[in-house]
Amino acid sequence: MNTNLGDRLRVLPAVESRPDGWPDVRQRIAARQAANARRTFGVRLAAAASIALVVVTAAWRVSDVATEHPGSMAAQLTPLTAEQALALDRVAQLQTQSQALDDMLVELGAHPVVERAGASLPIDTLEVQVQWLDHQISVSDGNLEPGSAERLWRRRVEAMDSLVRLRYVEAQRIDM
Amino acid sequence: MSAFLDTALDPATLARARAGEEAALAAIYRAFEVPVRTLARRIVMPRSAAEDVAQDVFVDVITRLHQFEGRGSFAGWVRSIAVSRCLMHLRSPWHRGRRWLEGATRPSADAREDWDSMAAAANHADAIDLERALAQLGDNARAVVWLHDVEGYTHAEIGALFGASASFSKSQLARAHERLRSLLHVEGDGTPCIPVTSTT
Repeated sequence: MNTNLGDRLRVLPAVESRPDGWPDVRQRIAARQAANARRTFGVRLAAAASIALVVVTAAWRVSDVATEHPGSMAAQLTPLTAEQALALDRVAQLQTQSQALDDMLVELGAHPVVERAGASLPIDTLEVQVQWLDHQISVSDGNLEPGSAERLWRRRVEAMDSLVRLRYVEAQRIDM
Repeated sequence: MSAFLDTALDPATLARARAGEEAALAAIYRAFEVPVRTLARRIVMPRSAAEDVAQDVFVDVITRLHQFEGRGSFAGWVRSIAVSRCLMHLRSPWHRGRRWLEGATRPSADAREDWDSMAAAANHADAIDLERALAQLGDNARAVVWLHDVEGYTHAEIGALFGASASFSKSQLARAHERLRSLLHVEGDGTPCIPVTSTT
């Protein structure tokens, strides 16, 4: 049965030729090439716009830093690379976070008179760590590389965050 | 035997086509127009969609000529592009949505006319019956039947094309043959499609 069916299928008539077939294919090829060219142009335009944006941002950051710290290394080493400009941006964000955590710590008040021994040690350790980081930052007096400054400020934010959490938990325990 | 494998293109024409010569490119189209359009018309419905797919096959062939490495036959390479294009069309959401609107696998009147017109051109009653029966198969079943019975693909190759196993192809083919048998028996003149031979 199957062999017979296969034979019958194989001798089915083929389609006729199409007189306008080749011109139509040529038109389709031209249309596809035009679409590809448009797509390529769009991608290149987007890439150029991205590069221009990074350059403008970096230049703006450099001039901003130079204005704020006229005597700093950042002002002398111009122009900054895009990565350095972004690192400076992150440092500014970390400084803001750090300030917010300082404010929260003030809100929590001074050290409680009575602390659990289990909480006292890590709180003391964190406070020492923050003091050491503050010392490192103040000693550098704005002369740190953007990457190094970012690392120090990130560590300060992490330490302050842990400190605020511990102090908050302790304050809650004492209120109860 | 597959119409593709009967089609040959001399290496000189192929070389000129790869160099971008217009006449050689047109020669490729002329050489493979009938096999490609026949394959598309057998697998893809309706006729307008099949013609569209066939033309896109040639766009692919012409724009990807540089990718043909000459390890197999050029006809086989063209056929693989044609089969791939047809199956892509069957899998497309647009086509599936259209089929759903038509009522699952029941072919539209247009599709039946497409097949009838091809057989009518050959003025062959048996071909008309067979084409009508094929048109009533589902998309996958019809493609499996054509690829296996006419193009000579193996079950493993068909399974791979559908992203399935060889068993998928075997079961699709078995069910399609059974359906074709019943359709040909009903739509024909009352005689079974296969003569019953005596075993004595």
